[in-house]
Amino acid sequence: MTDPLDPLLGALADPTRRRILARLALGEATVNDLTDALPISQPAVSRHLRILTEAGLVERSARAQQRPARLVPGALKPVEDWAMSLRDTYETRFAQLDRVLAAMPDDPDADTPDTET
Amino acid sequence: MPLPFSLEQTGPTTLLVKRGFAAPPARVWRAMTDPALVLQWMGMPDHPITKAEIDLREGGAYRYEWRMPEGGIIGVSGTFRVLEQPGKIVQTELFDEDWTDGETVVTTLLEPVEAGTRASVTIEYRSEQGLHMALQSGMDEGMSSTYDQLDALLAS
Repeated sequence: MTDPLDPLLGALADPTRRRILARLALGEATVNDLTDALPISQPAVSRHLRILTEAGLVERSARAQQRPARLVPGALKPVEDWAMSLRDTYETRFAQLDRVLAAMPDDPDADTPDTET
Repeated sequence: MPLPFSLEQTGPTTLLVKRGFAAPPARVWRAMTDPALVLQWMGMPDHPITKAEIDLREGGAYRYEWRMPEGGIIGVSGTFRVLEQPGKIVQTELFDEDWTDGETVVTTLLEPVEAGTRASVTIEYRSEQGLHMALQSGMDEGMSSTYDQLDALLAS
């Protein structure tokens, strides 16, 4: 099974591509718009857009010659579902660990831990 | 009642997590190293833990897996570098989807205190970029729309 996070996290790992996504979050933009907004060349913008499109994060409209790019609604859902902040992750796990510790037998050397909580 | 928790950046590539537990270090050690116990607390609400394999010896490997809401599996693997029961664990850690720019080294210290145990978990990323990627994966709870969450991701 291909993990849906693979292409998404690869596309998001690059700071320039995140800036392009930030711009597109405000509304659709052409390659020229993005080239004006970012300190990179037009071919570089096109290359990043291609990667974002292949990852399913961005789509190009066919209705105008400039083929403006826009975000694909809901494309980040798999990332959102997985990504909680490090802090939330630790806090959630440690609260669960509190309960496991409270349910464990008193003898710390017992070799048959109670797994029936 | 949860005990005080802190997470701070202690260097360009290092995070430190601290937490108290109302149990002695030997018990915390067991909960962290016995696969049957790990299965009881390492899961997340939307990502139940499905596998915990632990070869508890220096040089031994471990692997944990979680089920994603869409049905896929995400896992983390590594090896134990140091095991000093019940006070110190040094292990490597690498997620299947590497969003931390390579393997991290996680050092867990369990110190006895009056209330039980003070756990200090130091996470050393391989690069500053790795640490930033790990932090950028974080999003605040309570944000609902896709684009709100995207803004948070992008602003970090």
